This record gives sequence, structure tokens and C-alpha cells, in this order.
Amino acid sequence: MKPMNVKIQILEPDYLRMQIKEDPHTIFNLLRVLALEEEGVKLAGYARDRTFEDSVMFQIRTDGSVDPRDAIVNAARKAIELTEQFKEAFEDTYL
Amino acid sequence: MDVRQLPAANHQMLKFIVTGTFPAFMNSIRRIILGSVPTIAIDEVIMVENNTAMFDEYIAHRLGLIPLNSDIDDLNFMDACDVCDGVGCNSCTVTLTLTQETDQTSGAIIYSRELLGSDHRIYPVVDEVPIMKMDKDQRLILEAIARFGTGKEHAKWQPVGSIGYQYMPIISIRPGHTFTKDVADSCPRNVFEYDENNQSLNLRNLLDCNLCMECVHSSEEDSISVEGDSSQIIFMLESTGALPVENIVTTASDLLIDGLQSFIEGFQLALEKADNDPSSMRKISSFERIGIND
Repeated sequence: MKPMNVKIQILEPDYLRMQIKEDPHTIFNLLRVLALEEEGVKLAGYARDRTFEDSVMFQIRTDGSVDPRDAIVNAARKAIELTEQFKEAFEDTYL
Repeated sequence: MDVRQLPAANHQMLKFIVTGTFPAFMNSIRRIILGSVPTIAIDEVIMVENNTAMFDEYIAHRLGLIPLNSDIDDLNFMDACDVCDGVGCNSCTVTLTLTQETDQTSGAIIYSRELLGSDHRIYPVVDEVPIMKMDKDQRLILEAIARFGTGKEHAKWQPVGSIGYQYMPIISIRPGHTFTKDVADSCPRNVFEYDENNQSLNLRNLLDCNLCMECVHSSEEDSISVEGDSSQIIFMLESTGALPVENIVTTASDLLIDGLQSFIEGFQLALEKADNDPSSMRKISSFERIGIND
């Protein structure tokens, strides 16, 4: 498994903006929804910043009580947990 | 999270309800299945002889769309093949041949079953896919090279023919209200059963409802309400036959986990890089910043 090509564009105590060379909607819509559920996150969103290639600009802003770096990693870990739960439930039903 | 099985029309279809989920998650699964679950399809065709009415390109395109059995795990991805470095070899490609000739008196229809693979595990999953019609005294000889690919590259590598999800319908009918038969008939999916004695509606096939709201529009205001519950999602997919349909969902889950882990890794590498070399971050003027102003 290759690490994704991530580039940090802005890093502040309460704000993080990065560019990722990856298909935007598959993973980052899920991360956006889960990041918004994290405590202290005021904004989380993504945009396609290149029209003809796989690239996504993701940004997250917190109220200052949480580090945006932790918030996004927590959201990703939560997404992994959810997928594992889904897979387990699916296998219990079908396999 | 809980998965409940629903009856499906055939063994290549799955329909299930997932409870305790949300649309963004099911959409990720849907997109991964469409774009990232690999299957085998014909990608290159070498025409040896073709004096039929069809152009080579037409035939090659049709061959590409025939689903081939892809339930094997010892064929490499051509791009990542360590034997040939992406040129194409026996470890990453499979050759299929087709030889058809018609005599002086009658024509013939060529079906997918005429494609013979160099590996006996790679074969068209449906025998009766018509490829083309040949007139008399014509000849078609070709060699087709199949390889693993993903739907992101071309739709012929998608493992599913159809896939989708919808919210769980919640229909409430005002008790004691009288309805005309038109309301029950307005539903294109026959969700309601009309009781002529009491002039009332009963729910018959709740899960068939596709939230079209036709019953709400054709009845009196507030007598019926239809809503979708986004925490319960009805998910359905139909395999092309290339992969067993259950494997498609489990592979997609694995790929989603891989993708998220590779994001975490890439993100941590990027943070290290930003810490070591702050100038690597782009200078962005204030008007470019999007966000909530404090």
C-alpha cells in the first residue's frame, strides 16, 4: 500500500488546508462528514481544485480547543472502524 | 451497524438493509465498487483476418464489454507487474482466441462462447453474448489480450451492471381518513392496498417504495406523509458475473480501509515534511482563504 500524495498548504493552530492527489468524492466526502462530527470542528470541506485530474483540496477549521491535525486523523480512524464494522456485519449475514 | 438480507431476483443480485449508517459511508462503498474493484476484461485485440462487414474497432469494442470470469488471484496488475515492468507477459495478461469461418452457402452469428482462453479459468461468464453476424464466405480470426483493470480506467472493468442505494421509506397514513382508489392506483410500485369497505389504505410492499411522492400529491393534504430515513439504507447491486457478488462488497470494504490507511500515512509524511521545511507550504493571500471568519 502506497501512502497518498498529500501536500500541506496551510498549517495554523486552528486551521489546516491540504492538497491530495486522489479521487475526491470516494474518501473525502466520508472524511468531511466524520470530521464535522468531531468535537470542536467548525468547518470541514473539500473541493475539486483541478478539473481534469484526480486532485482534492481539503480544509478543516476548529474552534481552537482541538488541533485540526488530530481531528482529521481521528475522523479517518473512525471511518476505518466503521468500514470494519460494516464488513463484519455483511459477512455475518452472507458468508 | 447491522446488515439485513432482502430477497433478490437472482443469485447475481444482492439487496440488503444497512442500519445505523449514513449516506456518505454507503456512497463511499458504492463508488469504490464502481471505480476500484478490479476485474478482467479484454483490452487489446490483434486482428489476423477480418473480411466481415464490421470494422476492427467495432469488434474490439464489443469484445471488451464481454464479462470474463475474474475470480482468480494469481494474475498481476499489468502496471504493477514485477516480471515484465508493465509491458505485458504471462503473469499479467491472458490471451483469448476466436476463429470463425462461414461457408459459401450460409452465414452465422458469433457468440461469446467461441472465445477460447489460454488459461482455462478465464472464460466469458455468459455463453450467449452475440458478438456479430457474419454473412456467407467470411472469415474472422483474432487474438484478444485480457488483463486486470478498474472501472476508473474504463467502464468495461466495472464488476457491477447496476448499483445504488436509497433511504428506508417511512410512510404514515392518517388513521380514520377516507381515501379514493385513485390514491392507491397512483403509486407506480403498488405499495398500497385499497380496502373498499372502509375506504382506507393499507401498506402492502413498503420496501418497494422509491419515495416518488406521487401518493402525497394525489391525496388530500396531510393525509399521507412519506419520508426517507437516512440512517437505514437499502443497498442493491447486480454483478456482471465477473466476480461473485458477495466478494465485490467485501473487496470494496478492504479497498476502502486500505485507502483510508494510505491517507493517514500520507498525511503524517506530509506533516513531517511541513515541520522540517515550512517554506514547502504555499504562500496563500488572505482572499484565497475560504472558511469561517472569527
